[in-house]
Amino acid sequence: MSGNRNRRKHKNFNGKSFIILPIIFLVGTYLVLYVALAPSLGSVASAAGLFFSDTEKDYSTEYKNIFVPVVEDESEDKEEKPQEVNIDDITYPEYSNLFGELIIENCGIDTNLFFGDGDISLRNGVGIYAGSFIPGYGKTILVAGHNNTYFNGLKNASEGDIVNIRTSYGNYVYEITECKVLKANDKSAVNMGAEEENLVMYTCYPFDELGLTAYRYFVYAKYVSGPSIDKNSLEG
Amino acid sequence: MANKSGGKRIKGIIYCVLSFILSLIFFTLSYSIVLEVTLFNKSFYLENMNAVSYFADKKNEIVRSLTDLGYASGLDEEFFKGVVDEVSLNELTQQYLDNYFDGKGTEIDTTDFQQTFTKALDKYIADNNITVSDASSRNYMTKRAMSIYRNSLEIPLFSAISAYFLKIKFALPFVIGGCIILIALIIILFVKTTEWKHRALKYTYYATAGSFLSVMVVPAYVLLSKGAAKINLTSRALYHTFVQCSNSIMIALLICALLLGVISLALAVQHHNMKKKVSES
Repeated sequence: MSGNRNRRKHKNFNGKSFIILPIIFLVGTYLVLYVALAPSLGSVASAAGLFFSDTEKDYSTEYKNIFVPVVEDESEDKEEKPQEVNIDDITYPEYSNLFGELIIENCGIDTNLFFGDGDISLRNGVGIYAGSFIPGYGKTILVAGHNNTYFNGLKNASEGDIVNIRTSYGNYVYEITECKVLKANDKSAVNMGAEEENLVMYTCYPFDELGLTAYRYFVYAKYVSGPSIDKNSLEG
Repeated sequence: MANKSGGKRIKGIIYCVLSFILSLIFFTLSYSIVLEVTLFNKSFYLENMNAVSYFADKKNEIVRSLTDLGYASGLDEEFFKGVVDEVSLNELTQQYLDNYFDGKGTEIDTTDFQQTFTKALDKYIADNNITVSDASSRNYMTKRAMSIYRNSLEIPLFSAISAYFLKIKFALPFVIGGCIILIALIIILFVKTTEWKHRALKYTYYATAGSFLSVMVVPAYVLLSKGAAKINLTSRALYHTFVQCSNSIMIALLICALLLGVISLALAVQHHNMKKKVSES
């Protein structure tokens, strides 16, 4: 009797071991791998994190468009137009986002305005250098564009011409004060530490010639109108 | 009596440990074989590149990058469309992979492209009567074009990992050979040292079933989570090639796992039949 019981016990164990042991081997294999690779696992995982994102990359669009034009009521008195916009109400553009338009009627320029001056931005419009500021911030806005595409019209810019910049949080007006040719590495070309809002547009020089040159054509404009960004909520 | 049963138990434990080691060896062998025929095989890259129209996409990317250079230097978009062709890209990529796998480095020869580019540029200048700023700026532009062309054809990280890559490639056939010998030795040990031959099948089954599960885990996870598709690559051509290669490797691993699964099933059935015969006798 006890022999039959032992045989049954043995048979049951054998049946279960056909499932349990392979699972134990599976766990054991990855435990061994973990122990063997643990010293380098952290750095490999960190490196992999740099190359992989949470979602699949979308190659159908080159850039994200966050520009929604502000419709201004022409009958509204200039003094009644909003003088300030809360920073919390602004969707701050990310690099290569299309976030506005830049128009200089006298130069025939009406182009997309991007944040960032990388290849994507300059291929599709003009771009604000990411180390400068957006309109309304009260500082220097540095805008770049190619001289044989969207900024070709800058060669016709002259003192007194009006520059309109439209964004989702307000429309801005600037007036051109000066145009000059300087070397690309001339540090005096742009004052990034200016405490008042000013617009600097630049492109390669000379226009309509072949080759990458060391000169740039700078167009300077002073601020005329547009809502300033209230940064107090940030500082609070 | 107690000593006899204790000795049996110890024998059983030793066989289980050997079975686990056999499972690890099957796991290593599966991955080694898959890597040998995929990642460490240059035809694998070219076949997958052709499968996803890599060269057509790469041509478009190079033309677009060169067009951006053109925008900055006064060249029309149309100029660049005739300067890059898929056949040259194919040949250069093959040469690049040949050199890489032979340990000759990752240099790409842009001489032909430079000649084509310079010839086209001279013609363009003459036809359109364009003023050239100066010779040095034109040369600089030409060098930038070469650089764009070369960088576009290189596969990211290949040069950084080439030393490790070549060492692993050299060692893989020995690893595969060693695994096969060890598998044979352990199975012979099972067969020669077990009293009942169906037990040898049992322990071999544990090993194959265990390795079937462990080999299957990675490809199942990667394919179900679509992890490969989440890689962040600027180049669309490279992205599609990477996803294609990754899926091919995972499918190869799944096939290995299924093979192990079939073998373990066959062993389980044979074990059952042999044990039945022993019980009846």
